[in-house]
Amino acid sequence: MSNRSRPVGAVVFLLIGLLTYARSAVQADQQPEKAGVKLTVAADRIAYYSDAATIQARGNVRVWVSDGVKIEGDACSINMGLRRFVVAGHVRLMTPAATYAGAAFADFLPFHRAYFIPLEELPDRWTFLNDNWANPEKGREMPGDAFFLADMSDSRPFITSRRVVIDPENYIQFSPASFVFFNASVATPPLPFYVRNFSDNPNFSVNALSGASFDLPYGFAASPASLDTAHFRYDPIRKTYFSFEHHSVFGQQGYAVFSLNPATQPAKQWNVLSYIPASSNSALALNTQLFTFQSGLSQPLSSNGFADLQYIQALRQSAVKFELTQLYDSLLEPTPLGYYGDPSHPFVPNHPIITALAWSGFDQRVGSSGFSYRLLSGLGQMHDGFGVSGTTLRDVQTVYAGAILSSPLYRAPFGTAAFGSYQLQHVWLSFPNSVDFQTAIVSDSKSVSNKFFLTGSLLLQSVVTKNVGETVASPNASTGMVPQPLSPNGLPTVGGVATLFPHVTNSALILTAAVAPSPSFQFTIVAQENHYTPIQQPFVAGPPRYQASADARMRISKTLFLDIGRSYYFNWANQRWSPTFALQVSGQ
Amino acid sequence: MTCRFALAAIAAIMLIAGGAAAPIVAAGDVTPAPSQQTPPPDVAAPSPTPEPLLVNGQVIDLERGYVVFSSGDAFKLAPNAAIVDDASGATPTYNLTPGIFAVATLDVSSGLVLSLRTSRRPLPAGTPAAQIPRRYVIAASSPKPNPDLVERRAVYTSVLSKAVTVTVTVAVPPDTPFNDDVYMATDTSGWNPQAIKMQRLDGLHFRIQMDLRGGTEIHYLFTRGAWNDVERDRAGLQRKPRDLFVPGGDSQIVDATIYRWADLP
Repeated sequence: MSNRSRPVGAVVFLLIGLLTYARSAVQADQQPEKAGVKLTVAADRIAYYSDAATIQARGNVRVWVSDGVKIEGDACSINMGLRRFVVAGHVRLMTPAATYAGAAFADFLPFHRAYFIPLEELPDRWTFLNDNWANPEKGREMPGDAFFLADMSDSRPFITSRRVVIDPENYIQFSPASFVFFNASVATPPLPFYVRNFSDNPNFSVNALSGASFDLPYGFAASPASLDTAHFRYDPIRKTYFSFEHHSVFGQQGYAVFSLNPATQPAKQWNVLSYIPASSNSALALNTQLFTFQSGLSQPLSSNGFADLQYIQALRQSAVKFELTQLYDSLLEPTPLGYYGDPSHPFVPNHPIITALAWSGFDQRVGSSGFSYRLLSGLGQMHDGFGVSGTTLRDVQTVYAGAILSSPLYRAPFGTAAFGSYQLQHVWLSFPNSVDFQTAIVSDSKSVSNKFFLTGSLLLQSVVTKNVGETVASPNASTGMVPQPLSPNGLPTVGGVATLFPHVTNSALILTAAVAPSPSFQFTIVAQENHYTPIQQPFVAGPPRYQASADARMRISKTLFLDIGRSYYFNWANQRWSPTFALQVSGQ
Repeated sequence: MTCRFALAAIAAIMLIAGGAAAPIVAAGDVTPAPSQQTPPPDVAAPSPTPEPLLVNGQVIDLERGYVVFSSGDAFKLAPNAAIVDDASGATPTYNLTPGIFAVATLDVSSGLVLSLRTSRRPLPAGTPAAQIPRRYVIAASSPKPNPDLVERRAVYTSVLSKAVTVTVTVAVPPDTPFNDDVYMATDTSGWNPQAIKMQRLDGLHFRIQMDLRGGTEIHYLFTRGAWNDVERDRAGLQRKPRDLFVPGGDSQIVDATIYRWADLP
């Protein structure tokens, strides 16, 4: 070997050494990834323990992994939290490379590590690395609990089945599904399908259904990017009915949700909500609603709706939102009678189009004072050839500007912390009209102990409207023309109540006590006194003079909490207690 | 000759008197005689007839003459090994399916399991299978180290992990409606927008304390009770879920800031 070749050889040797080190370093620092496979499990009995996020299968167990591996055995335990499974007892492992017989097989899906105890001649320990089924690492040390079968003898399953399809990151599909209640004393008949979605993608939970007193969702179809759900619902007006909702997600940020609510009553609402990121600092959102009155899918007696398209663009220290809204008061062909079926379904020709542009700054510091402010502004235009909101005006313009000023928390006497904020907004409408909104908050709070907090607040709100009658006809917040009022009918709200007077003020004194003796129990009580001018009278104007609300939250199981809340109105309009307790059970 | 017989007789007498177990020390061997050693006080002297080992664990397979525990350790069954229920001492009336618990009696001289006492509940007796000397465990290959098992930050929660008190404090935007509540929606709750209700700390902050086990990882977003008022980023764009990982310890403090709500300008 020449002298010249020696450095080259040394460099090659060094590179090989570095690569070897890098490979071993990667193995030593193995990080979980997406499992990337789907499991299908069939057995004589499959039980799903929701509290423990565990599925257990017994008797004639077969597991098909979507990468082509099939495992047979006597028992199987799948830990959904850890995304790993074990098949044990008379195991046959059928891989694309070979078939093996053994005692147990475990697959840690996020790590691409499979562990196997072959029993062909002598028992052994094999580890399959990165789905290399032909060349197991023999004798390699295994995690101590690799083959542990969770002992669920003291637990009761939530669902039993004979076949499940599992996407380890997203959902489980049971076919059939029998639900078990009351400590296994009651079970439903087997239902054909049930899908339980547990994805970490929050867009699967975007709700396109309007409110209901009771909602029971039932998933029946799913994929990693979609979920179809039937809802059994109840509300005091519609009573009981069924609704349908479909979710599609695009990565972690984008989604499209379609819903039909209710599906089983004539007055139907068809919704599409979607949000598509256009780039890292911009996005498109499309919200559409169609309202029809029709039995089943027959010819509707009325049909109206709107489509609202938004484009949001982040700038350096602010953001702009462009909004285009098209409303249709009637989508059906006009009839000579002027109505469809009966006069309660009239033809309304209006179909206004609204364009709006809003700008909002980020919160900015006022020097080194600790104060911060945010500026808002926007303009909009509404055009309707048949007159805007029943007026003769075909075009209405609006311009608004506002600011929010807030203080930091200041140390105050008696060991308290004081905070204040002030919000001002002026809206010009070309009717002509103008509305001024002001909100001021001053609060003082004290930590009595690490588990007991008291807050006293004074909330002042005022709305000054130049012409109340024309404000009533003004476009509301959902059209995007004005950021306030937030009420659904276009009336400015003060103290949670729509205004009817040119100058309305409300001052509210609010006392909040929050106690949390342990993470398993919290109690909050809020007492509020409202002074509403010019008139504070039940059924006429203003919120209740006095109001007290209490809310308790307590742990009722390992993963569930119960929230109980109720309000007392001190005989406001002969009302003492709120009609019902607010109850909610939620998982943590 | 007479002398030789005399020496042999003396040696025979010494052997009988000293016991057959007395080692013969070769000339020149510097090792002291055992009678001069004092065994370490915490190590038992080897027994000439060692007791059988009791192997405890969860059984995942019984086939081809082997019993395999969930530690992955396989032991050879004696041809006439008895399998009895631990409580009754009789043949088990339940199926010997994977997941039952057992104590195996291992004969240390032959390395065979002589009997197996089974139960549907964990049994207290014996030594966990993973701690049994490796010479009794049947394995075709020699043990190799596993670099994956290098200790690092916990990735998963475990029932053995200690509960950690996690305190999440969040500062809300100043335009947050004062009477509104603030909640955490988490992936563990199916993204219920009212999953965890927070408590008002002062005019600007809400707080919640939770007991979470070490290794827990949850994703969450703040809401005011519904998805149309979920938090957004500073520009009003949808933000990725926040990540909370509990590595362990006694307590953990998380401070967060909400810049904007989806339904407010």
